[in-house]
Amino acid sequence: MRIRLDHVTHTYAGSDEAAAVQVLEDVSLDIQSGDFAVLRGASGSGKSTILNLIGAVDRPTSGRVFLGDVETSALDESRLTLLRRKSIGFVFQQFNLIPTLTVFENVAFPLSLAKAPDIPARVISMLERIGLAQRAKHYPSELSGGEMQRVAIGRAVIHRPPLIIADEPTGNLDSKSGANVLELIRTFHDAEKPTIVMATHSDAAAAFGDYTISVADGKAWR
Amino acid sequence: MILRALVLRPLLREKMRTALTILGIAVGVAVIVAIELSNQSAMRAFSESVDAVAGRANYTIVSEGGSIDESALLRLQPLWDEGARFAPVIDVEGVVEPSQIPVRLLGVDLMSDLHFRDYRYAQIEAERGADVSSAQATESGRDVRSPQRQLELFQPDTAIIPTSFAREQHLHLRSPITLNILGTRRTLIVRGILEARGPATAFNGAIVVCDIAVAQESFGMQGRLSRVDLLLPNDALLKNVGRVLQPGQRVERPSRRNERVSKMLRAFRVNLFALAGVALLVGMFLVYNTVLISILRRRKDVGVLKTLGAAPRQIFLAFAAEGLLFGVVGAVLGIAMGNAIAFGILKLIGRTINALYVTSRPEAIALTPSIIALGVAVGVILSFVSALQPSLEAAHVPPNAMIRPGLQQRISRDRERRLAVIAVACFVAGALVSQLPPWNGIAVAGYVAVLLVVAGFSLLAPSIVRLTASAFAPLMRALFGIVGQLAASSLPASLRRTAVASAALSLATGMMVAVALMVGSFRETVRIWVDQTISSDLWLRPSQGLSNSGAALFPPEIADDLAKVPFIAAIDRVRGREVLYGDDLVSVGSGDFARVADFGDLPMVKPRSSRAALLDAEARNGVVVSESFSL
Repeated sequence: MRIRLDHVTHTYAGSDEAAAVQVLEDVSLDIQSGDFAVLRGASGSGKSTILNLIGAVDRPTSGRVFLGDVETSALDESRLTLLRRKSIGFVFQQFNLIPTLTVFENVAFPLSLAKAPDIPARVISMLERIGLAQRAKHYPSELSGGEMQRVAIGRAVIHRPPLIIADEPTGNLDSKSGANVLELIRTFHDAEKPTIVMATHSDAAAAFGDYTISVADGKAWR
Repeated sequence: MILRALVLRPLLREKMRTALTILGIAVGVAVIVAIELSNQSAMRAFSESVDAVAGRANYTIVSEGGSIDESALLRLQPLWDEGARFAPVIDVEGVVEPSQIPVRLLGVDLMSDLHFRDYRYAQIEAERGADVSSAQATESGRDVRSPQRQLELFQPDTAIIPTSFAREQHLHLRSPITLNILGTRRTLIVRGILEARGPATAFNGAIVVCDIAVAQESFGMQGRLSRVDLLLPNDALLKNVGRVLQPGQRVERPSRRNERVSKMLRAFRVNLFALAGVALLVGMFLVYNTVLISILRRRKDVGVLKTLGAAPRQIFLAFAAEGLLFGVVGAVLGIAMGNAIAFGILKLIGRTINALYVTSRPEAIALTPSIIALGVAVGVILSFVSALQPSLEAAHVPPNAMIRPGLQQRISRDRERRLAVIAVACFVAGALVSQLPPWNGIAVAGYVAVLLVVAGFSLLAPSIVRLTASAFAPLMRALFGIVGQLAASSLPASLRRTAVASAALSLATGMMVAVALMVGSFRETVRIWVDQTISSDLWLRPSQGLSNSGAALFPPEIADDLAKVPFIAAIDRVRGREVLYGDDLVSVGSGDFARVADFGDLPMVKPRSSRAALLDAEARNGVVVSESFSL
């Protein structure tokens, strides 16, 4: 899935006590379908904001965002929901597994939303691929950080989305677990060729991508 | 899976909070169910008794004066040939001496009464003058049904009683039974015992049947009847009956009395329901708070699920289902609790109804489908309504909510100000609504006004919590250091949670205080009223039974005898009874106005001086009416 940001600006409105903050200013990007792009920049540089805009969980203050031929910045909420459900997989720094669902149920969730057939078989197959078949009935609180992130990756890819967003996937992991997680992401990319956009500030993590996009002071460039 | 993730599993994990919320709803539903069960039981007991005594009568002649001259029977006689059947009835309340057990005396003319009521005997005295000790003197019910044999029963001292009453009072055939009816005491002999059917089931069997002539002669009602029961083959005969009625007499259906009593009890029920309504309101706050807390605590999860593609509708349905679940479980538990509570309060409500309204001995509780439906509807609908607003809010949680999870617990100053303005509007509306007149005799506007006041204070809760927390912050810091300061500042920081919890707690406390004040005020008002109006040193009543208070009379000579006692300064002869005024039953009391003017201090609205009013009323043959009656 090709991604384009066309002169995008984004400002976070302030609450009662905080003033508005502009995080992106006139950003334009073009990521080709099947690319594994890495966003690099310091904390607060705007990496996560770019991911949110690409992932259709936020709208730009101005400018346009395209996923494939669809201008997501012009879609209504229900279409954005369907787009996220079918076409995007998410991996977060904080894992963001649902604590009240088991490993099996967390991985099955996107299939359940899409009312897909053969859910148990597909989930078991995925758990075997990520090496957590024995942990199917465990809750997230019973897993290590590396295991939780592998579950999150399994959840992100099980419905074979053409786009995967990964926001600092190794930020909360030790180097060994981090390397395993990045290896897993790379393996999925090589096997199924989805477009992957990953934000990181780690040189080691950046090395797993095809190329790097630098983000700083509200700007982004390749 | 969304329901499982956001609602079912969290509810199971947070058992205490789940249990308390369900209990909140259950208590509200239980109070409603218990009140309805007790009322229905008391009303059904009365209604069934009236129906049992009325038998097959489709109309009855009653008099506004309370009794009918028996010459009415002579005037009705020509209608006999047209198919009309009529039966004179004495139906009065009294007590059994010396136990003071309330009892209903039914005096009937057995010949004409056979058309109206079925008397089936369990035991009957075999022959006139038979030996009491002979076990063979009784015959089975099947053998004693001939009218001739039944006629033989009615001697000048015969009393017929139901089996249940005989058992309770340890009475047998030939046992003497002393009745105090209208202040006159007379001993009759039990000569028949009725099976529990027809009139024998009325008033839980606390009924004594005797010949109408015996009732009239024994208890000072010569020539008088309580009513005449009619069995008219068609309504066309009503006109003919109407022609023979005397002034003050009228024909009505027996069920009309039930309707009047039901109408009388309505205000009593509405008051009880209003109290139950406040309990339910507290339950609603609890549900609102629980669902809101669920959403605030799971806001991040909701954001994740929406990011993964869950639709707002799915999120809404999950949290609305949480409210529904609370409602269903709370309602079921509440119905069971209400059933249990009803057993406890049945006697209490029955006693109040007996004392204030009608004689009735409430029977067993019957959990009918309509009451179950009422409990379920109240619990489920109110829980669902309470959960609606937070569920809608959850549906609109943005997918990126996990970025700033805590912010939504705050209430902005602007919103707080808006809520305060709406609160003031509620108070003003409440003041205006409270001025509206009652609807159908019920102070609906008053209840709406109270609801508006409760809503006003609930809307002010965020401001009150914020101001109170600010005011106490220095004290908290002084007492508990940094921990105290943190506690004081955390309240305004999560106003959406704390304000609702405070409102619920305030409402519950307020209700307790209000009920305590109301009951205390009632007692105090009665005490003041008694002090002011009854200035006598002694108050004599013919019997102790509450149910008999309206009917029992002293023989006139008792007052004359008392007047001769040297140390008695004055005697006021007081008599009271209930009469029909329009379609309402009102209490009419009579006394010696001159005596009351001399010794009493009746609180008056207009004119302010009771002495002047009473003397004026006496001089002009007038009456004094209560303020509520005048309205």
